[in-house]
Amino acid sequence: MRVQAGTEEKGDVLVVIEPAKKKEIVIKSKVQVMYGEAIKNTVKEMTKNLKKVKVEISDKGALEWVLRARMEAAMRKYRGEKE
Amino acid sequence: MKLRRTRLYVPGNNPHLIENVGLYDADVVILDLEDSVPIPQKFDARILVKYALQHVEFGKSEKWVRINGIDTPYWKRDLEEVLPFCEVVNLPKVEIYDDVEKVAKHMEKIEKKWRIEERGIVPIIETVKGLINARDIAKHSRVIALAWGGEDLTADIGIPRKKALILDHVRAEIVFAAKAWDKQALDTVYSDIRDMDGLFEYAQRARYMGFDGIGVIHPNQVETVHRAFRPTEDEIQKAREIIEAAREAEKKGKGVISLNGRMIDKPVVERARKILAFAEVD
Repeated sequence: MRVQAGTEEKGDVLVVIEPAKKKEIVIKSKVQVMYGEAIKNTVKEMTKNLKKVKVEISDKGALEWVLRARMEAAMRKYRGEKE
Repeated sequence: MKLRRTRLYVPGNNPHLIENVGLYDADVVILDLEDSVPIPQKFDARILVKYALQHVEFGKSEKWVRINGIDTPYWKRDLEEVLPFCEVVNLPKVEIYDDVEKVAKHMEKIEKKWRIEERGIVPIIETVKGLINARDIAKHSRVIALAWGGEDLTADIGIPRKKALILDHVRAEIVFAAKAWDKQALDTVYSDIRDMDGLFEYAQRARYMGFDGIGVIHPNQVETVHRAFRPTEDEIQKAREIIEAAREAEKKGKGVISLNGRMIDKPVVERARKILAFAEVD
């Protein structure tokens, strides 16, 4: 099941999680050069218990707490939480 | 006395607007999960607000969250996510005392689980039924202030808000209901964000009707409202004299306070304290 959380508005980030054959993290960010690695580390840390998923991050300059909030929302939806 | 002259509404689904809330010096910041959040974003917003309450610098602003009403499927989940991290719950569309009680009971469970202090509730009166029960609603021990919403209330009566002639009556009811139980009364928002003169007049009028603050929808409104709620120099001077007279009477062990040959009753001293609090002096 493909789920998403967040938006592509300024200061936000869109997180998409979907099943995949192996774990894959894709990051698209306008600040990739400066923060790409930091974003990847946060995503890796938060998804350490998830296998066989593709996590796609479209960052629009989100702060760390925003990325974490959107990641948590997407992961909880992926686990089946609703509303 | 806690100043609540301005309560700034910020949509709970917009991180860009949330990240600077501490810079605006509003007495209260309300992260909104209700009207400003579309239904498909309710899930994401309550998690975003949970993180914001823990990671964003709120400055001197009190942290409130407006949860969804008890007529929706969201309010319990809202509380479960955000209650441990906010100071006050702003509860929309309250119509009867039991609405507050129902929410208070759920809050109590969460507070026990997290071992946190009891949080206050500020009900928003938005219907005629809520208005006629406002005196009952305000007496709930969790209620720290009473607010009201003009748009929904005038819609409930069936009149256009801008031409409504009944609003001063509504305001008086809210003030009486709140003050009877020693709670704060909070007026609704002034929605024209470009009209600062109109805002000043509106806020000053709210103050003289007995309100302790108004809602604001743009950071630019904060300073004007604080200015409107600032007592005049004359009011401050008189309040200082009254407080000084009260201190003197206490020092001399006198039961009766007098100033310039006139007796001063307790409510007058309390009003003087409030004026000095609004003047942000002591």
